[in-house]
Amino acid sequence: MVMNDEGQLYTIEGITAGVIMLVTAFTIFNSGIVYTPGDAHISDMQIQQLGYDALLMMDTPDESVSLSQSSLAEMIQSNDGGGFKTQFNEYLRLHTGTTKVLDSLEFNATIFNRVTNGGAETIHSYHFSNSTMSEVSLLTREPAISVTRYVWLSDANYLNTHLGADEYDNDAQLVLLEVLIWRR
Amino acid sequence: METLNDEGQWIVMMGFLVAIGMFMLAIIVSQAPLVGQTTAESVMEFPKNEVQDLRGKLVSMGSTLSDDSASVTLQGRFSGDIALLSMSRNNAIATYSIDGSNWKKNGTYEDIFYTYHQIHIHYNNGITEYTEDLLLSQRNEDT
Repeated sequence: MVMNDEGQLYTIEGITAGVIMLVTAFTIFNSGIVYTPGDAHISDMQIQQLGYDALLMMDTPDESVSLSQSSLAEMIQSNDGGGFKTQFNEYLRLHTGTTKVLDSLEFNATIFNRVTNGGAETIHSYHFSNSTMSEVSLLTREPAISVTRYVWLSDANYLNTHLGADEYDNDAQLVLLEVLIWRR
Repeated sequence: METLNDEGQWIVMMGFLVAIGMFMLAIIVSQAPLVGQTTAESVMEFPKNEVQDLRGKLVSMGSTLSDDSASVTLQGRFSGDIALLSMSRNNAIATYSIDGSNWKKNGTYEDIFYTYHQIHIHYNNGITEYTEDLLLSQRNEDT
């Protein structure tokens, strides 16, 4: 029996038409979502981890005795925003030289503390430190990433004296350091 | 009717197959940004660093406690600060207890060498719920 080999191009044409219709449908249903590199959050994730790691390093005490002071706690206790800026910038910029991303990070650090003075429990906040703002940052910047760290202060006497009893309890306490980091 | 020229059909079909193959590969490549996005988002959503921070602070505090009123004050300060600051800044409910409520001298569990203080940590930010019972061991004093 001889196979009938007529009309093969017509068959191929039919299949082609089918595929074109499928591609069209696929394109239409996918065109509602547009991914741009900025949406991908990959660099956001890296900046977040970098920030947490930098704060962890700064909040690690020199000695292994429990509740001993870390250098970060000492900076907060003496309200040394300048010292924090130097140290945190140094940690943010540690890299292997393969990328320029890390040299373009800026930050703003705020401290939140619980105040029980006067009976009611409230949260107070104050500006702690920030990086030197470049001119570029005034024009455009990427969205900021927030990283936080609880810091144990064993002595809040200086802060209580300088910021006032309404702003700071004179107790050993935990404060929350919140740092916003962004790429300019 | 003019006869259809049916030569070179294999060549046409092979070209067609290659075109479909390239289309499939393009679909796979187009998934790459999506994969990066979902991975990065789930890493950022998971409060790994917050929980580790909290856990580290509790272990650090728990191992300094003793059986006096100063340590009760310390625990009150800790739990109040953690609860209120987590709620207001991290949008999370973070609570803990040690040995039921506060640190007990003889712990929750004990064997001949160690006293174990049970630290119960609860963290919930609406997306991730984390609960842990952690046993902090303390060497018994030689009697």
